[in-house]
Amino acid sequence: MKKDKEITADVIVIGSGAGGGFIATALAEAGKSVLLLERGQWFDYKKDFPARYPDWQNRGSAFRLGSSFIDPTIDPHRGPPIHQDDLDLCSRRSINKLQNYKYRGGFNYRRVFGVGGSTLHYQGEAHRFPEHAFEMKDRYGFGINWPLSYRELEPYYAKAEKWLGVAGDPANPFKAERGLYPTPAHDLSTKTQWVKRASDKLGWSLLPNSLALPSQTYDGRSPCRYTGMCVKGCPFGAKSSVDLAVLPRGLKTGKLKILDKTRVLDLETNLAGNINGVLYMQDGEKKRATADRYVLSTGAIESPRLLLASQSGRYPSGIGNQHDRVGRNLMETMFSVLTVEADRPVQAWKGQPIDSRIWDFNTPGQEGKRNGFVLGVSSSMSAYTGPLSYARRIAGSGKAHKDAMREKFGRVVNLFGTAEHSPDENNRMILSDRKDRQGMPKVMVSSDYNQHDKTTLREMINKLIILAEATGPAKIINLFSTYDNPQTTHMAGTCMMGDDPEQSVVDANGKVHGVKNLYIADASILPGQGMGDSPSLTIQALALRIAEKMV
Amino acid sequence: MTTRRAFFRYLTVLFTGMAGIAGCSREDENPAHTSSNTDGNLLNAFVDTIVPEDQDPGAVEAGIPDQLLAHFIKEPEAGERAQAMLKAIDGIALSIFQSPFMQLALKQREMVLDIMLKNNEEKHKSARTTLLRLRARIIKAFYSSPTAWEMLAYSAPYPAGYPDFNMPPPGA
Repeated sequence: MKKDKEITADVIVIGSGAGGGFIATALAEAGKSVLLLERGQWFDYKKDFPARYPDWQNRGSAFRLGSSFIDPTIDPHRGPPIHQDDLDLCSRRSINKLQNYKYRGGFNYRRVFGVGGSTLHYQGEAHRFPEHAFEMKDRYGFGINWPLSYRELEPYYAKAEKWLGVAGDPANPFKAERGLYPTPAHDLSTKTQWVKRASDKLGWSLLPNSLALPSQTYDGRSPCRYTGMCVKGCPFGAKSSVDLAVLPRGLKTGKLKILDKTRVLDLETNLAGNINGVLYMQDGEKKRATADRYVLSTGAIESPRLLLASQSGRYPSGIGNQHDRVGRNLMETMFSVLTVEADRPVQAWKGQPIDSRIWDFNTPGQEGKRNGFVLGVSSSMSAYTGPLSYARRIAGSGKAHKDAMREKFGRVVNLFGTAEHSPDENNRMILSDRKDRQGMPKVMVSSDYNQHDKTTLREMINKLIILAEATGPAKIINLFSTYDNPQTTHMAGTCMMGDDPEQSVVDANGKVHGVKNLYIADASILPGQGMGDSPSLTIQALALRIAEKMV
Repeated sequence: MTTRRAFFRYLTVLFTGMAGIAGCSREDENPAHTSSNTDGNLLNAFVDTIVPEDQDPGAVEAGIPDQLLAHFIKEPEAGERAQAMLKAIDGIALSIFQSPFMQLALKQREMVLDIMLKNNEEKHKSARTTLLRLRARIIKAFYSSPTAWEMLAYSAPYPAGYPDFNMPPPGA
């Protein structure tokens, strides 16, 4: 290791995603020198993203190199058994045909290595968690109370929305009262208007989604162009991913230094138990950097992974893990997608991937037997995207195939729901004996749905079916469920925040219990998942709050 | 074959030449839907059968035959397999309809391909596999083309219409 290349800063932030990008920028704007270490690369939306090109359908994802294809963090293994009574919760083609699944599948770890982290491929949802999500135990008798309230976080939500230019409609009766969004809500797409007729019939409220996809030119960037390509990278640079909307502010201060293609392998500690350096790999060389304070922002799998792997005499079971809390309370993404074929052309490819949501079921119900969930309409949650995806799924060729294409193209719509997964200390990740190519232990995940989760998922699926049937003679093509296909899109809880050091990993200000100079600002600190809301804005708001507390 | 151009010409003659073998006596007739795009060319006839011209352009109009020929230049073995397959379907056409494939109506050409695909004889296995591969390639090429997008009123990744942003933003 070459000592002459050692960098020092006031703060080292590890990970440049939703949490890391925000906290690094906020600290730089507050006058701190910040070194931001990012494992992935910078992407250039003008040339790297497939949707920039006419042959986009035949191009692979720009983010493939940063996915778990290269670094399978999770050591795959079969999940817990599926009870015969729960087969109706599993994925299936057509509603009536139950598959005979025996076990839950292995985890599908979707993430991006890149400056901006998973905001590079996220669909821009920018939700404030509902007030009641912060007080689950007090209000409903289950779940965990957060160590701070919605009201305490509210100013940081507003600040994060301003940085991102979030577009939304403040008149959402299911959310706390608030002022105007930085940009107005988008109009609903044709496909969503078609679904809205059904939701109106049912007396449900299908509302414009609040999105980090500005509806007007914002900070010199293009407004959303409705390509629906968020997941593949916005070809216009319109999506407010962290690399475009946030980090430039930090770089302008002259206080922020970003090293990309840099992977942190170890957090070094001194005898007092504080962090006194990070060991990282860059260009094949191991190097070291030091700071007064350190922030971990690598997500709900990688942050606990690094903590557990950074063992020493002072921390034989990993940093911050004195009470065996690191990696526990893993909350999966719990969701289901019902793919339907509309009975008329609805131009399903047009518009944002998730331009609307139904929050009517966002509070626990059935007298506490089920948790909250949120429904929505999506163009991105099935294989049906551009013309080629339809052509490949219509059998045969010739006149019949062409006629079918003209009739069916653009009619496939996804109705989906996301729900809160119960925090349970037995759902956890631990280190595997197997290592990746750079010698870091892989991760093993043990997670299951309890009866409460299954009741929630069952109710959510039923509501999706009701919504599909209310659209009229729509044909149900497919049902996807995370019960048999565990997903890691919105994971949380593995370094949970709390006041009690024996039950949590960080305090309300993101500081790791027992370590003076280590903070965590990412999804791992969330004590809940907002009843199915998307967590990114909450992660970003928490990051801003933690930055303020650090200064 | 010393030059790429010569090889290209060879392939064109090869695929066109089947028409000569099959006879040209029916060229003046006009059976229901012999697309003018077949143009006496067996490859064109095959491509048109996969995505035919009707009220909208088909794969021939979209230039897919030229793409296939370019592919065969790069991969001559693929060209040979294609030639063998076309010879086989021409044989079926002559056997069933007493007419070369490229002079059949669309429905008849579709029937010939269907017969080929359902034929389980070992001697036609390679031809069946080649047919399926080429079919997939033609469909992929067509639905990746502006011709198909116009047919489907699809203009991604820059959607027009709703809402309509006509001018690209600065720096886009």
